[in-house]
Amino acid sequence: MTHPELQKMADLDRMIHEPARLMILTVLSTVNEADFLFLLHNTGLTRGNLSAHLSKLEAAGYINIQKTFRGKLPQTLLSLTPQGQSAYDAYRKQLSQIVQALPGEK
Amino acid sequence: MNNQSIHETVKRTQRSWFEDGLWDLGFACLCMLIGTYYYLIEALQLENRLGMVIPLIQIGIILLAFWGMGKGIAYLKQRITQPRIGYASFRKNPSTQSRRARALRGMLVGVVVGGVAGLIASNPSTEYLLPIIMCVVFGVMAVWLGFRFGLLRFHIIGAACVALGFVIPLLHLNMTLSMAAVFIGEAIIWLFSGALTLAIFLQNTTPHKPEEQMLDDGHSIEEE
Repeated sequence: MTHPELQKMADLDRMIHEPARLMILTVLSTVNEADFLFLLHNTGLTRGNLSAHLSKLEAAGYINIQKTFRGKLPQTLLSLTPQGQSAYDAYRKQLSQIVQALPGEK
Repeated sequence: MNNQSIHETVKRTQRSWFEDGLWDLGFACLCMLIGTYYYLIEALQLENRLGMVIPLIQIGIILLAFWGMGKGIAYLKQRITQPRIGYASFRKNPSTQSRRARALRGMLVGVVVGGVAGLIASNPSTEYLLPIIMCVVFGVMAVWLGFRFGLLRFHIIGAACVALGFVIPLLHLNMTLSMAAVFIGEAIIWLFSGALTLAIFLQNTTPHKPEEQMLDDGHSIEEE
């Protein structure tokens, strides 16, 4: 791997690079919006861990968290923000370029 | 997590739409409605009475069936699926589908439909091919869904649909009854698949309490 490709690895967004957060953003990139239970089911994370990662992603401006009601039941709706979507797309692009540059991947 | 596992996560997330078997049941109802319509046309000899109005009624029935299927699935998902695996509104055009792929698929469907219509119009003795072609189209659709979402049951449904297409000409039915048999046969296949999938889904999942569906504030990240 040459120096510029190594540099790309260092430039990866660390907020997204964490596996649990990458999984959360990948699930959210597939939907318009989803509730907390859907993410819990699809990521396999514990409630506490999922909540903590969601708070971090919200603080970074990557996701919207909206506490609402479905009928009389409380519901937490989650969605990617435009900023989160572009950060996720950029991350995917960078990751693909790095993988392409790996020996034996061309 | 690499690109491969990202693709797998996307597929798994999209697959959750089909996890409860409600889509299969909805599609079965749609096919049953269309099949019953064709059967009634033949049984009540409506073709002679209504004549040119038939194609309009046919379009109306199909549109009504699609509308009813959408509403019915949404209602049942809200009652059965969402308390168990949560709610998600899926993107209609996921970014994984390129415009070129969609255009190519549209063109392919157009060419096949045009070719079949031309063949049957030019030679009425090829009418017996219609149930086979219809069932192969249903089968290809099921197999395509199977590949796209990584669902084995859709591959089995695809094979059953194609087999149905080769059985119907052996019954020596007229054109309208053949169409009724195609749609009712499809309905039975999808109904069986949907009922089995729903039974497994209900067995493997339990409804969550409302407080379990809410985000917990004040948690720190633990090592998993």
